[in-house]
Amino acid sequence: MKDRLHSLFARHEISRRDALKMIGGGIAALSAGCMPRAGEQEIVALVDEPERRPGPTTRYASTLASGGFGIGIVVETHDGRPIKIDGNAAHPATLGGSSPWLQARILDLYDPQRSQAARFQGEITSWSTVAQRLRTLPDGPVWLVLPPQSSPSVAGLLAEVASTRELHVVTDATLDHRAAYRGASIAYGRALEAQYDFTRADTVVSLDADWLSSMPMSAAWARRAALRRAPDARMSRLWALEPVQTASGSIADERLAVRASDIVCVATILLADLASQGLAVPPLPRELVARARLRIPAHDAAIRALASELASRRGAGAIVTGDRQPAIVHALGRWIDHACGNIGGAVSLTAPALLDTGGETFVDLIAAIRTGGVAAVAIVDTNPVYTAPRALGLGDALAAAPFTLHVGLYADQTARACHAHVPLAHELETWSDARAWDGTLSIGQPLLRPRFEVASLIDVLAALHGDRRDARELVRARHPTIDWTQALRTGLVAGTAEAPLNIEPAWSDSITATLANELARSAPMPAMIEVALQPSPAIGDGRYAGNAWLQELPHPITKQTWGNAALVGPATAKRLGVNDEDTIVVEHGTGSTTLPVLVIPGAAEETITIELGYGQQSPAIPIADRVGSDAFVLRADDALVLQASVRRLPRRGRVVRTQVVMDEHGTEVAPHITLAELVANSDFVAHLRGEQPSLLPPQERSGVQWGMSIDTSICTGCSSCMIACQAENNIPTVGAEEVARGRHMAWIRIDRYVHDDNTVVNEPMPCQHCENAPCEYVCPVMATTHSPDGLNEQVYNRCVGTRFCSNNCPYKVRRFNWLAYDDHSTRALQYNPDVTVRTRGVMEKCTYCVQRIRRAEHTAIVEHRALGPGDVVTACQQACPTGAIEFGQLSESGTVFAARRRDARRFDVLHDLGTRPRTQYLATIRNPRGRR
Amino acid sequence: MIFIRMPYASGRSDAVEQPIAFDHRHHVRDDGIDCVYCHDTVETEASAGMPPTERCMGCHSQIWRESPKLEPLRASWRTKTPLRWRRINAVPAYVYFHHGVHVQRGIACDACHGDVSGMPRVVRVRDLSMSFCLDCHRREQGSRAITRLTTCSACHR
Repeated sequence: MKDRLHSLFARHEISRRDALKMIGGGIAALSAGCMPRAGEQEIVALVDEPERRPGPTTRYASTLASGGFGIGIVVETHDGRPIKIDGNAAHPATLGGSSPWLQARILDLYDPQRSQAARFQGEITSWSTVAQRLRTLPDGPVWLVLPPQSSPSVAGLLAEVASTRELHVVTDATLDHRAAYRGASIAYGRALEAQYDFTRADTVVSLDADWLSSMPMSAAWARRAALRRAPDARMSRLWALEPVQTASGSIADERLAVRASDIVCVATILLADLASQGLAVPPLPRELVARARLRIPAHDAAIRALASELASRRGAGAIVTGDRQPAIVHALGRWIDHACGNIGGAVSLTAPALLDTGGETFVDLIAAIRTGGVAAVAIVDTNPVYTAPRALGLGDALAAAPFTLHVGLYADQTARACHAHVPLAHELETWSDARAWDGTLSIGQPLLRPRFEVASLIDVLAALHGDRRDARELVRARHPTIDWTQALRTGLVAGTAEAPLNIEPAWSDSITATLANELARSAPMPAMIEVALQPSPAIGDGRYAGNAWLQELPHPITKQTWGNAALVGPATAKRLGVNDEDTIVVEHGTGSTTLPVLVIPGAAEETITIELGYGQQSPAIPIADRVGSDAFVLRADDALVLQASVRRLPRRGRVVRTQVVMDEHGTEVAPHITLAELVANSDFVAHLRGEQPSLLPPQERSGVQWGMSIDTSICTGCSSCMIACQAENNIPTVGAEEVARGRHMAWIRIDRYVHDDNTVVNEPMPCQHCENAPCEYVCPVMATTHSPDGLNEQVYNRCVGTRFCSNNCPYKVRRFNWLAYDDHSTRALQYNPDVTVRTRGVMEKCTYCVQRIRRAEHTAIVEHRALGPGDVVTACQQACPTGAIEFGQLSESGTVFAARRRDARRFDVLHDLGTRPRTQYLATIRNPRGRR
Repeated sequence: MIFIRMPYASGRSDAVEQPIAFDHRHHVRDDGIDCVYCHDTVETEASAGMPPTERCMGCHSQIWRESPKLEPLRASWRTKTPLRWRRINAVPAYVYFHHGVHVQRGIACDACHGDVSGMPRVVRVRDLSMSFCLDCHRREQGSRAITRLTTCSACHR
């Protein structure tokens, strides 16, 4: 280097002073990452001719599991590296839509927190050593603890293992879908699954079920239900009966705040009211109905209205019951469906997809360990030491078993309590099979070779059985008759959905007794308050607590990130003397948890809702460790609804929220109207669109011009778009401290507005790509400019971080990299290579997925054709289960997007500012029943 | 600013030692092998593509089998170890250059790479700076106004 500089000086006769200036400037320029020198980088060529040319993005179909059900996905890979997961449009569980957890699973694949080595009593070992031990287990019963399963391969292996040794299976599910199966057993004498066709449902009644957002079929259900939400004569009416609002409840037309324990009363009264409508219902003793009515007198009129609506819309109603509800409520729901003729209409019944693994519980497992009748315990893909009722003492009991094995993604609490731990294969690292809610079979294929030695449930079962075949051979052998290539290519085996069964329920006196018992059991207890526990919509029951995207995802209702809170209604808060962010202690039996309060308008009173999955003591998973409060400690048994005592602590807690005020403050940011009002006033938002006087020169609008349309009417606030955007655009997480400082980095957020009449509007807010963009004319360095196709561009290399643009943005969608948030761990393997990873000190924001626009343009050029409608799909649009987000060219015709650009409901947010945003909205229409 | 425009800064015309002294002049001019035979994704993809060892061996398992100059190639094939070439023509990571669209729009290889068919050893002949790109992109549009070819997101995103 020195020699070269000397010769350089000699050649050009530069003075020392000039040279130093140039060296300084040159080094600065080079170190800023300018032009790579010739020979500086390597090109590593392949050795063998590849099966397909490297370069183009490739998509493979595979399968994830949710609550045991198969969820068909399509995984985008770049040169063999999976970087994004989306729903498979052909698969009945998603129809192409997503859920936040589905999008976020890709982060788990590269998570540096993952357990990376098998351990035996703390010493590093290998899976093959552990497998050998499983093959040579001494005689005696083996106990398995598994999440719910639908896999035919797992079913077959379980049967094979059970044929050679005594096998017990404990199915570990916090929100147990088997409640629905037990409900069907009460009504029909056998387990059944309800299949819904929401395109045929005029009235959908949710009994404590977040059916549009957090159930295994939610993505598909939301897509189908949204087809009936256009504001016309066919618009459906959604009823939500729930203790605290869910995403589904936020778009409901009729919402009744009912305590979780009172849902049984609702179902009882509804059934009785249907009888007075002249429908055939089972004989309910008057005394029971009277008791139910006494519990919820305030909802009497509404339930009567619901009964008359269901009766008048015969065959076009559907009852969806949440898995938190006891079996008898599920059974009553089915009777309501039968009474209204819904079975065979919007609802049908099929055989269930989940395996029946017997009813054994942790109580049985612990008793078996205590009596010495256990040869080994294998816990796969669950964390029961954290999730099982703490009072049982599962952790201590495991220590007394002769051999305990934990197979999991993380070295979590259960791993610490077991003798051996083996890293679990991520679903994208192994072969699997699963059945969807409707029975459709799909194969899960791996997308990349594991980075370290891992084992799947199939591997564990094969080892127990002494079968040395690998997961691929085992799965393939299980399905000898299917077209294997076709199944992998399309992501499902066509024609494997369960056929509807024609079956009638039968009432008996014992059911009356069960109902009477439930009504007695669920009655409020004096001096106690009801606590309803539920999995978090983001991190589930803690299963995804290590996922930073999900931890930082604002809660759809409270907008809380990184933690949970006690959600209480306003009157209850007043009675308890608490307000937002006050700290309370909730005690039940021997368990107690301390957490901050959030007052939720419209929540049921005398009940506290707490989300599970937080407050883990898990030093091996730093993202999850001691975030929020652990509510599992409250449980003495499997129940999720319990009676507790509450006491206020004289200190403030902290709730990190991304939105605190949910009021429009008199502006018309989120207009809404009822269907009945719309008929009389169809142009009610006409004043919120159109030209405004401007000093700025008009924008050229010739050629390809991009725009977006968002229908607030069908946005549930589920937040799939937020995680999809995060995955697509390399958006960092910043942690609770930074979110509290207002430094959340999401390019698309979902604003929530609660109006005086309790109508909720969910308003996704990406960059509006204003034609007269206020950010552009304040930038001193032209780092934000307008492109000829109508995009508001951010040029990272020009940005010097003055933040004037963010200051001048009325929509507050610009995000600044206050610190170096980019991550260089293995997590960086997920980064989308088509998108720049931003560094400290630059502004960033939604680009309308410009990388997808340019890719579509390049493909069109290479294929010698014009860009067509649907060539560009933004990440948020692709993920949205309801189709609330549409993207396209302003000039296109005949598409949904084109129709929306002419819809009478269209409006610009902050129209009076004259920014001419390219992102346009459709106003919210709700369809409540007529009022007096 | 002057320094980074100098040939020294970009290594323009610098001779770079490659794992194999591959001679484009011989392969293209003498043997008449088309660029696309080896760089086979240049017409459709962002990357032009580098030939896998197997493609070289298609000929070199038959001819010049004993040549000591080709020993690294045979070693790569034998041991299944990739050849690690030195990249000569490079743009920074924040430039999303797409070979396919340029070729499809009639830009010949030598517009940026120079006459590689005359290079016994490949050197960079253009500085491949932003102004080099803009020279063409502006000429195409006939003005300095911001157009579809000169807007920032055409290359940066």
